[in-house]
Amino acid sequence: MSRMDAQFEGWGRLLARRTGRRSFLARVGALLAGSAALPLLPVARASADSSRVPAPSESIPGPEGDPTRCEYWRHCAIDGFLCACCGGSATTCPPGTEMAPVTWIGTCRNPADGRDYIISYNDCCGKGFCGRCGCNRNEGDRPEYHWVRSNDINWCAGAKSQAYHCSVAIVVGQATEAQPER
Amino acid sequence: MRRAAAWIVALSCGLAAGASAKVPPEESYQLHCSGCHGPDGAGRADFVPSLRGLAVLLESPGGRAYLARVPGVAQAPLESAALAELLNWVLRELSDGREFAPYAAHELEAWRRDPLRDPAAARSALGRGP
Repeated sequence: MSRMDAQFEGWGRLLARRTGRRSFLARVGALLAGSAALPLLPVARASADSSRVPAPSESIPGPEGDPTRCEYWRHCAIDGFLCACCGGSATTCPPGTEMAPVTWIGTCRNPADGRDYIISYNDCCGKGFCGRCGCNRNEGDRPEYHWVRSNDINWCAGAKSQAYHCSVAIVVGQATEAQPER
Repeated sequence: MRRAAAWIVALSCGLAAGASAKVPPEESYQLHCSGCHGPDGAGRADFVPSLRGLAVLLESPGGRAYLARVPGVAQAPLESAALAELLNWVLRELSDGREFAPYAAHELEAWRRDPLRDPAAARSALGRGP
């Protein structure tokens, strides 16, 4: 009997060591809920207007081209957790969170073509801190007295819940020049 | 000679336009207004006022000064010429073609130095709205 116990314990420990239940559950859950909820998210509407939105090259080598890195070019003024590391993506909220209707809007330069793009940093709200991929790049960020361009305030204002979870960075257009405050 | 003259004209136009590129008002709208008022200017019920149909405000006494003195306008990080262009664009695009007298940069200069301290009260004092 104890040999059987030991055997099962061994398998259990092996499984726990190799897989990680949390990440597996999180991935399966995110996949199930995410694929069902994707068309309902407000970002579907944002991306539907393709006339104004250019298609910046995504084939940038290195961290500047990786949406799960702080160095990703669209994250030039981000302050918070990257939704791409929290079950969402650089443009979509994780399942169970709501995209805040008011946002911080600024510009970032895309190193692939050297042009500036208008970026909307929407917060995803309704769950506690995601805690993964915390970034604090503040290019173009202004002090709180200039709140329209301040990333230190909680942009979950206007959402049903003010609990901040993570941030996305959506390209909403091409900019003629970098934002005037930079 | 003619080519030289053309160059001089082109250069002086460039200087007159200033060093930075001209930002179209719809882009200024995205950058300075759309974050809160939304890409269509509809705002958010009970939270962010709508920008649609604002031209009607210019028809009441004090309406013209009111619109120039609301914090979002008065404190926008823009030169008054660019601000006037943006404000006129909003009034033109979001008020269903209602006639209005466009703002001039020099008008805004004075008003934006005196932003409203209580915009909501000033708005109700106007007595009408879109």
